[in-house]
Amino acid sequence: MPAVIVTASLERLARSLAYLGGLAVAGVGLLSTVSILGRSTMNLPLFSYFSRPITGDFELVEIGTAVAGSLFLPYCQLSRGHIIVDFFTLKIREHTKHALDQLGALLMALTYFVVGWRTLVGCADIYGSGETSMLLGFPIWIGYAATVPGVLVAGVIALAQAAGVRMMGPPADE
Amino acid sequence: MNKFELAGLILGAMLVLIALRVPIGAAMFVAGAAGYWSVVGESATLAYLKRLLWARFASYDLSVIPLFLLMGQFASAAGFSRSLFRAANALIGHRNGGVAMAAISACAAFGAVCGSSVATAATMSQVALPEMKRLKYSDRLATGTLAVGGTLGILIPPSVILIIYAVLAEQSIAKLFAAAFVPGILAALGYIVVIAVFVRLSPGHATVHARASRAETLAALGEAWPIALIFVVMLVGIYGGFFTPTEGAAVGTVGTLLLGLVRGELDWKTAVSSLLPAAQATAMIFMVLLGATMMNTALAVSQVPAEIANWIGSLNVHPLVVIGGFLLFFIFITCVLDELAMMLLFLPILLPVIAGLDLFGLSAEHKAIWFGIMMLMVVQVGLVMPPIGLNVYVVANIAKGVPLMEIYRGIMPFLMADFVRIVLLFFMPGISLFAVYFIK
Repeated sequence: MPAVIVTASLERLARSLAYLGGLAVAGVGLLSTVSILGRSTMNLPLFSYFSRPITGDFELVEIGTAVAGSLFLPYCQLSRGHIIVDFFTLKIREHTKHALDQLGALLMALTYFVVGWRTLVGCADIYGSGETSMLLGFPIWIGYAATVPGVLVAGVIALAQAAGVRMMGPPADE
Repeated sequence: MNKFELAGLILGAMLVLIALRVPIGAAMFVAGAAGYWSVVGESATLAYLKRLLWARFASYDLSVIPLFLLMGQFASAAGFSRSLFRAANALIGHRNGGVAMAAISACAAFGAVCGSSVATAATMSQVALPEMKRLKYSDRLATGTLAVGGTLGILIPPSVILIIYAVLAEQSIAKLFAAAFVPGILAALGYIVVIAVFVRLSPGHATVHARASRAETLAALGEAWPIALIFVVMLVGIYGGFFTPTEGAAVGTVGTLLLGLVRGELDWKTAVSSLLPAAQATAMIFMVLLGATMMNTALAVSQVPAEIANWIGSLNVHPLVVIGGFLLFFIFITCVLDELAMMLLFLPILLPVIAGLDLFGLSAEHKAIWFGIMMLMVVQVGLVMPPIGLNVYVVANIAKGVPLMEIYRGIMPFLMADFVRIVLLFFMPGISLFAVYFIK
């Protein structure tokens, strides 16, 4: 398969995952809004029949945040959105700069893969122990499992960048 | 190897990696994990890592970050800055230097729906710079005002930097927001005073023009009040204890989106594409927090932060001297390091020290909140200080053709207001802390 197609599909995947994460954030936002409305109107006449706070909204917000955060990682890696300090390397040659950025991408890849791998192992452990969230009884292993794809895709993108594959063009400041 | 050598090695490795352009999250994670491994061994490290991602990401407090970032994106895309600036301009723009004062006021109002200084500086510059140019304000005053005004984005709650501080210091976001409120207002007032004095002392930088008609003023206010309503509901909800910060952020985000859609300032396509910058910034912050957590854990097992805290506690100097020293050190560091990086790198070592100091007899919680506000002020000054004032670059990028030196010159008078405010808050923590007592 030509490298261009792989790059293009990785880019598309990263964007799709970011939008998916956006859905999770929208879910968190709507859930919180509905929860406030339910809570604040439950003592009013008429409303009291159907208005109530959402049970376990805190738990759902936590799960949604973790999943959204992980799904945003590939896009951030793709667009080189991670924060770096360039003060000490302002005057070095472009060539050296690119080599250092490849090193940076390699260490990002290492981080993603180590964290992804351990989270997967943790997921298996928790599946075995049957740990659930306190109020809703939501199986935590599903949450763990849902954070892994984003981390691993980000790892693949970082690895490609470390290998010198150009994605989404050079950063804006060059 | 003793623990000091180990901690030095971990921190040294991290700093070398950071200096070599390695993303801060990865530098902290790799150096921290290696250090942790060398202390507790392989199996304990691998066991710790199994829970790290979930423990860090699945956090109720962190949920405010994507929400506030998204709200800021919506507010920028919908052009709320334009409505706010127009309203402020109609009210005070006719005075000498009034358009600059209006820009500061609009920055403050925009800062109340946006938690980022870069976004505030960028979106306000786009509307206020052309207007000041048209009215023959000097480049120096116009660009300086906007670079400084942008920092109100993080001073006035919501503030992304303050949320990150809250997470690192394990303090209540609502209380930190409350504590930042009065200092934020003081900052805006201070800047307005600086403009008033500046245009009086050096004429030629600003012009005077006719007052807006009553009809124009009413129209402008009519456009701005729904935006004000959003942040009033949000902040009253959070401060009054009706909402958690996450719920406040959710209400604000939904409100901003709806207002933008109803007024036709946003369409679905723009709204959806606002997501990508918010997603990027969220992932960036989450990743550095992940790295910082690994680093903190490694430093904590080395017990070096606690030792440093003890050592500083045993020194015979006044606690305020210690804090003052930290703040000066930070101001110096912001010249070389990004503000976020600075916080992540030094807070783990400094927070235990601060917890051990006797400051005005404040409780541990109030000390942490007060120091957070002081830190926020320093970060804010760092955003406009040479040589790498981020906001200065943002404004320079929009004000094409204005040299950086000219913008820095414009900023100088405002730094005096910052200095006065920092000294005031330093000696009178009550100015900021009194608001915390009202938070449930």
